Amino acid sequence: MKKNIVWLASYPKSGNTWCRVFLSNYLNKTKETVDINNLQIGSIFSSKHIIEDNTGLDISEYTENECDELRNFAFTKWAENFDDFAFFKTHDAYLPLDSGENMFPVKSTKAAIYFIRNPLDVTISFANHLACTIDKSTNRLCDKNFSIAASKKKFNQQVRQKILSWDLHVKSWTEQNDFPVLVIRYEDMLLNPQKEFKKILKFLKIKTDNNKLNSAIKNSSFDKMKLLEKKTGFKEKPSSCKKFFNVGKSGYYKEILSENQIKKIIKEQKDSMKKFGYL
Amino acid sequence: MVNNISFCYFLKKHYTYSAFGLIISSEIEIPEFVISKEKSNVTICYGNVPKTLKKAEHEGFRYQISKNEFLIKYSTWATYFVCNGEKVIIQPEKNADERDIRAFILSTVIAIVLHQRGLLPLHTSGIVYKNKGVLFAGNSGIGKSTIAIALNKKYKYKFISDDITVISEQNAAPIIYSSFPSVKLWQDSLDMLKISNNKLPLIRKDVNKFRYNTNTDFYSGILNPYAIFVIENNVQNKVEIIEIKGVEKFNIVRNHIFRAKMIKELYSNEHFKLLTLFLNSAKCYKILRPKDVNTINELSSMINKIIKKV
Amino acid sequence: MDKKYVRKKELLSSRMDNEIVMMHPESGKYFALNPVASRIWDLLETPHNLNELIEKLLKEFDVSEETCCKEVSAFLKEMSEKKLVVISEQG
Repeated sequence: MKKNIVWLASYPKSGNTWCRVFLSNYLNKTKETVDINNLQIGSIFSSKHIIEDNTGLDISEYTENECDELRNFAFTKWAENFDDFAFFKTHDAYLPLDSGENMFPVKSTKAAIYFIRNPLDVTISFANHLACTIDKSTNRLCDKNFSIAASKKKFNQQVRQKILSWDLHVKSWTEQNDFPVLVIRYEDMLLNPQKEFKKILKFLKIKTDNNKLNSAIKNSSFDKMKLLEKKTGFKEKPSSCKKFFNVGKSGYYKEILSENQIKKIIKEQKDSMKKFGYL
Repeated sequence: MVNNISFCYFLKKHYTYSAFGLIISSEIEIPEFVISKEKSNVTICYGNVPKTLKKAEHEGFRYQISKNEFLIKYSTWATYFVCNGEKVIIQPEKNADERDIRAFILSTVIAIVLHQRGLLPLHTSGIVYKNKGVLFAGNSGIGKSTIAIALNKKYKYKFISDDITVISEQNAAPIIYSSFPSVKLWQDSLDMLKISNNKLPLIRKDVNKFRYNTNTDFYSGILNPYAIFVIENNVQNKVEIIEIKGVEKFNIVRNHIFRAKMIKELYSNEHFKLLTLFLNSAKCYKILRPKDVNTINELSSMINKIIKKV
Repeated sequence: MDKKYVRKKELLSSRMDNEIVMMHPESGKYFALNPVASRIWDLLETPHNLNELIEKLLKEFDVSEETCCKEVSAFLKEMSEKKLVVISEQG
């Protein structure tokens, strides 16, 4: 069994896709800019397609818990197709199965990178993503039992993902001891991408080539992504959401959130906000 | 021929059904199937299943498969053993829900029976036009069942199949067997079709998908092929239907062999023969439609026009 | 140069409009032939040598003898490598 999985983990809207596009460009052997609709890095841990390909099963009529039981097996097997690094994206909170067994393929895991962003900004971006009001996205961000892709009305391309509240999500990943985790703040990526992406490369023991680094940063910049999305669309965008790459700034909550919304988030998410410098 | 008369036959009640061109004798009641009085060629019964297959060619998550044998364990409700396209043995777990047991007979298990018999089960729904079959293929959740029911409700096409449609051969010509009258629909499809979920049974205990019976709108029998539509998502926000010709027909329909990921290439010779035979008498179209947008009226009207044009 | 080529017997093949799809039963590999290649494939139902093929194709397609010869040779080479055609034993 290979020990090559690197989790690109985050609460939604926290810079995960940015890093995937960066790594795709940095590790890309050709000189061309990678196609955002064909990213080779970071297939998502909730993909039914990957679970079905690697178990041989059809899970369209499985319960959510039955699907979860297959994820460890499927992604262990899927990781065998990669060499040194199998980068998998996930928004799941780091949780075991109800039975206590690992849902994540811990034995095949090398490390995780955890992306974190100020929840006051996250809630605005999350509202855009879910095409709902900020009050609603704020309630979800604070909901200790929140799951995504959990609609029981229709078939989902992804299995249900328990993401819990923002604070519990952060704790689940940053306080586990199964493998090393590097925490990267979205705000630091915006401020000094060179420094943060270098940190990631160093953590993964990937050689840093400054020319490649700069060009990969250029090719994964927010403005470039926004432009590409306008031109070709982005297949990872939920259909109800207008633009996946929306604002991408930090601190813009000050102009948008109401006092009550800010109060609620600070009150309920303060542990991790304090710990990671947002308070 | 295998002698199907096993001991349980005399002691236990059994039901005889016709589906997919097979006559199935079952110890488990399967109300979704049509009752038959003919002599059975497939039996389904409870019993002890082998621990492993003697010669498995592939293994997946808790299943093993060879050309003539198949064994799968679903952790919470049952283990199924299928052999020679003639016999299904089910060993249920304690407190297993009969709906769960049945749901997988109606999909994976019956599909393996069909594969073992050298037939070609396609992952399609189907309707009838002038004694010919029109099929709708596509990945799970794409709307195969919904479009078949919409065409039935709006334009009175009879219904032949939901998830699985089986292709066979008779006198060197391709034929389609009707499956059974019941359709599985998610709530959002029921909403689109304006069908109330009131009194509709769930397909499984904890899966919110409903069984809808097409009753008198079901056509039972053998059909010649007419056309196959392969439904895919469109990145663009519009509905398009394109006719496919040449080898691409083969390539895109081959992706929709039922349980292809499970059986790998075990039956590829049989499938090649039947699929090319089928495609030589069926027109093939690709439907591109925007994801998660209700286009059912537009789509059914476009398809109706294509079917009816001479 | 007199080698006669013929289709490999065990191959499964079928016409799809004016193209041909084939499957190699042992390897399970699939092959597709475009319309021109499909015509050559039709001819190879019975053994043909290179010259016989060229002669027939020149009558049907608007192509110079030189180009035709080059293309057909390359086609036969590729088909032989993929074990889709064999040298006829009668030939």
